[in-house]
Amino acid sequence: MIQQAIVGVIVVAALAWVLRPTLRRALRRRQVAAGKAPGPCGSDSCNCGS
Amino acid sequence: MNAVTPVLQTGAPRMALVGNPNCGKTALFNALTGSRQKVANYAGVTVERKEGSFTTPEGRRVQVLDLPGTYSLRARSPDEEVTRDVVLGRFKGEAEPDLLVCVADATNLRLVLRLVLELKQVGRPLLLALNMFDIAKHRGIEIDVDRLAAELGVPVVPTVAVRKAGTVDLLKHIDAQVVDLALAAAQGVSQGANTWHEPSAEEVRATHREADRIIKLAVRPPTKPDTWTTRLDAVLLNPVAGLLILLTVLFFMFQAVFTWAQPAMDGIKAGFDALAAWVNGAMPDGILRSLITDGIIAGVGSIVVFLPQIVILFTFIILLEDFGYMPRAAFLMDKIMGGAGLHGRAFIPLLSSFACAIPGIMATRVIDNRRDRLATIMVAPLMTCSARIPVYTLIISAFVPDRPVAGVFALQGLVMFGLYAAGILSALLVAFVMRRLVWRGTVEPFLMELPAYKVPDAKNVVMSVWTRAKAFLQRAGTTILSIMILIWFLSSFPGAPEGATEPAIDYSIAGMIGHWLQPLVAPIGFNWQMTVALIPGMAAREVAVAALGTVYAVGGGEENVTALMDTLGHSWSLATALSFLAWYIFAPQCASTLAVVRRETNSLKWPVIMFVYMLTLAYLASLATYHVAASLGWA
Repeated sequence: MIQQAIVGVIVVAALAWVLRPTLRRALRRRQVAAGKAPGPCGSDSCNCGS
Repeated sequence: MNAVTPVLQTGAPRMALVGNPNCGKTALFNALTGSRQKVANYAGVTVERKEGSFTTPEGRRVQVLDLPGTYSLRARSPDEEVTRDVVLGRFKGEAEPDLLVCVADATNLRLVLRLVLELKQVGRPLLLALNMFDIAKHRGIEIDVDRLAAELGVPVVPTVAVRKAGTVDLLKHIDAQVVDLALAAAQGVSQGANTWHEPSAEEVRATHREADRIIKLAVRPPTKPDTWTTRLDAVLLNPVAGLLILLTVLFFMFQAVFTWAQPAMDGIKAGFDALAAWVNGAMPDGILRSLITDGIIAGVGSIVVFLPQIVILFTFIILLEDFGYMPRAAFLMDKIMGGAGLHGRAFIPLLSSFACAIPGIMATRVIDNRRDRLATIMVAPLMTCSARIPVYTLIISAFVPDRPVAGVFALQGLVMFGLYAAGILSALLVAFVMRRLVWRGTVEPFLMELPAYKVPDAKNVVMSVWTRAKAFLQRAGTTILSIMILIWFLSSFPGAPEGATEPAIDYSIAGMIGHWLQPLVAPIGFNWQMTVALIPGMAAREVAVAALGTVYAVGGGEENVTALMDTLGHSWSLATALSFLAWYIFAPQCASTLAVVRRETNSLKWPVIMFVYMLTLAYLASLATYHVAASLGWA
C-alpha cells in the first residue's frame, strides 16, 4: 500500500513536470485577463517601464 | 502601453551599443554590466534584446542596451531592422537612447566608419569604442586615435573588451556625456535633429568615399600583411583542396565520435548496470522496484550513456569555430548551397542544426531575403541533430558489426557518416525542389567577413562544451526522466489478468495504444513496441531510445543498454532496423522545433507544412527501405 502511494506521488509529479509549460501558460493567460499580471512587452497591458 | 518618454527625464540615461557583427560589442556589454543584465525578446519579433546597467566612476547609473550587429542603418534583415528602429526611436515600446556608443573592430575600420557616419546623422551624442585594439597593434595596423576623433568629430576610445582594457577611459567619456545631457535637459535645450534618411545610391557612394578619406588620414596599414592567415587560406579556401579538407575533417569527426567515446560509454553503462543490480538486491520485488529499475534507471541510463559522444562532437565543432574555420567552410559550401537554391549564409544555420535545429532555425535571422530564410528554416530539421545520435548509435550498435573496413575505418563510423550524409543530401534536395516549385528566383549573392585564424582559447572551449553537456544532462534528469516515469506507468498498468499467457505489457495502456496504431506502421515494418516508443519520441527524438528501453524492460527484458541492443538484435529484422533509421532521417519528431518555426515565421502555416512534408518523406523513405531490404531477404 505504501509502495503504491509513493509510486502514485512520483507519477503525478512526473505528469505535472511534463505539463508544466502548458499549465504555466494557462495560468499566465488567466492572470493577464484578470489584470493581475502585465501582458507581454509591446502589448496594451505591458508595464515594463518603457 | 506606456508612452515612450526620454528616460533621462524620468530615470537613468539610456545608452545603446551599436556596431558591426562580431566586433566585440557583447564582450564590451559584459565588461560594462557584469552580471547585471536581462535577456528577453523585442516585442513582436524574435530578436534577442539584452539590457543591463552599470554605475560610472562618478556614481551615475546608466541603462545599456546591446543592439544586434549591423553594417548600416539601411536595414536588410530582421535583426538590422530592430537596430535601425531602436536607434531612430521608431521601435514601438522602446524608449529612444540618450547616448550611442559605436563599437568598432579596430582591425577592420573601413566597414564601421560608414556606420559611424550614418550614426552621426541621428543627432544623438556618439562615442566610438575602438575594440580589439591590441590585435590591430599586433598586426602592425597603426591608428592615429586623435586624428580619427578629429576627422569624425566624435570622441574615440581604444578598448580591449575581453580584458576590460580601456573601459575606465570609456566610462569617463560616458560620464562627461551624461553630465552634458543632464545639463541640456535641465536647461530645456533639445538634442541635435535627426537628419538620417534612407540614402540614395549616390549618397552611399559619397559615404564610402568619406570613410576611405578618413582611413587614409588616420590609419596606416601594416607593412607586413598577416602571412599566416593568407598562407592557410591559400590551401583551405582552394575550391578542390579546401573541399577535400572539409570533407576529411567532417569524416574524421564522425569516426572520432564513435571510436573515442567507447571506453567512457562502457564505463557509464557499467555504472548504470551496477546501480540496477544494487537496487534489485536491496529492495523487495514490487511496483516501486519496477519503477526504479525498469522506468528510471533503464530510461535515463539509456540516454546518459550517449554523453561522451555529445561531448566529443561539440568539442570538435567549438574548436573549429574558435579557430575561425567555420566561416571558411560556409564560403566553400556556397557554390554547393547555391546549386540547391540556398543562400551561402544558410551554411552556418544548417551547421548549427547538427547540434539542434532550434538554434539553427534561430540563426537563419542572418539571412536577409525572406524566401532564402524560409527555405533554410524548412530544411534545417533534416540535418542530423544530436538528439538523433542516441537513436542512430543504438541501432548501429545492435545491427552493424564492429569491424574495420580497409584496415583503417570502423564500419559503424562509416554507417554513421552515411546517415549524416543522407541528412545533408536530403536537406539540399528538399531545398532544391522548394526553390523550383514554390520560391522561384535567384539566390542573393553571398558576402561574408572572414576573420583571421586564432588559436582556440582552452577555457572558452571547456566552458562551451560544459554548457552543452550540462543542458543534455539536465534534460535527461528532468523532462526525459518525467516522460520515462509516465511511459513506465502506461506500460505497467493495468496489470496482466489472471491466467494471462502474453507478457504483462501486452495488456497495459501503452500496449493497447501500440496495438491500435500498429496497422498504420505495419507496412513500414514497425512492431507495436516501436509505435509505443514513437509517441513520446514526438516530444523529443532521443526519448524514443529510452522508451524502447522501458517498453522492452517492462516486457520482460533486461534493463540495461547492452541488453536492449541484444533484445533489438533478436526481435527486429535488419529490414525493420533500416526502416527505423530511414524514419529518423526525416521524421518531424520534435515538438520544440515546430514551436520555434511557428515563432520565427510568425505563422502556423509553415510548421504545419513542415510537419506534413517531413512525415510524408519519413513514411515513404521507411516504406521503400523496408521493402527493398525485404526483397534482399533481410526481413
